[in-house]
Amino acid sequence: MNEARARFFLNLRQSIDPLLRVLSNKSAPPPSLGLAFDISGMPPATLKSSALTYGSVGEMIKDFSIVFGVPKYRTSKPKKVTRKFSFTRLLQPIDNLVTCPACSNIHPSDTICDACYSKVHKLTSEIKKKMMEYNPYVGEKQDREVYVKFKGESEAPAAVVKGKRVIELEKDRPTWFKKLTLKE
Amino acid sequence: MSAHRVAASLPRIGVTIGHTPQKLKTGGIEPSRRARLEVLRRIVTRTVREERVELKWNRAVEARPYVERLIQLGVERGPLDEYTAEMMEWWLPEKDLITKMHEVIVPRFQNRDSPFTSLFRLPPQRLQQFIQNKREVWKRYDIGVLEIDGNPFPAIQAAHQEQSDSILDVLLADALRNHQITLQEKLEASTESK
Repeated sequence: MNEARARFFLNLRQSIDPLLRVLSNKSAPPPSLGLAFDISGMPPATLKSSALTYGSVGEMIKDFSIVFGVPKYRTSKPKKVTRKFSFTRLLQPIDNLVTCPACSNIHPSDTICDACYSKVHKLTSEIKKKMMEYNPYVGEKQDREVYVKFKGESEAPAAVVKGKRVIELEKDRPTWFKKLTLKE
Repeated sequence: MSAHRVAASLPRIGVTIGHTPQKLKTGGIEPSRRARLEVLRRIVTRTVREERVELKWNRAVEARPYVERLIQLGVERGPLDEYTAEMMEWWLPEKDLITKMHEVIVPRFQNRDSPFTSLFRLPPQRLQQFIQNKREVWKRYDIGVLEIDGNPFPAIQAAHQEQSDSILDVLLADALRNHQITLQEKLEASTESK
């Protein structure tokens, strides 16, 4: 786009300059028409080959930058200040931080500790995966409570299991996951 | 209608009801009042199936009373009640979950008061959404964990220990323990000398 524009201006200038030269009927060509067309500020001798003097399109565009989109009005001081320091840009202090008594992680007081929860989340996903291993389309249902048995644990007493569906995990019981007892 | 009659005769549910109705927009569902219920139904179904779910905080708050009321209907009315059956059928489109509700979840709460669910809030999390032209797009999420009580998963919050944080209490407890140990040593020494 910009390249086409630049080429247009070059062509325009190259067609106007000889015309002016003919009209003025002098030996030296007249000065260029205006600021927008004053692409090089080179001596008139090199003007004829000005289309070839540009090494790259970028160079040409750099010369023409004055005719491209630029701010029309100066941005006022209050606008700049508002943009930089309005209330949305200010940093607010978090003053409700507490320390987790279990792992000393810092978290807002209205939330649970996310470091502790990540452990719970991982184990929950594993149990859930086993829990969801049933096919409702052949009449299987989650019709019993679930009892989780970890690797290396002996068979739980019948009073604890009480007809629950036993899910076996291939890992040891974490120390923080309490075992179900008879008291419950 | 019957909904009004039933709501008047059931006890209050023991959870907070959010005061601002959430929009609950979801891809694939044209937003409307009916769509809101569809989204809530998905959440309720998923909660009953999985017993512990992670949701956006506002959705968890919004869906919790519905889960609560559904369990309460089962506890108060039982599976034979006409209105309960209708509600279960609508809120749990999967038939095996109705069985789970009546045979697993409701018996847990027979002698218990509401609330039957717990809701925990996680600290705000920044999660990566996607990468566009080498530009990483991150988004902030408020996540809530909604669960039906009595589930087989590890407890989210450790049982509250009977321990005071006050330094005075800690020192007193230590002093008492030391005193007890010295008494024990004295007793042993006296029994040995005899």
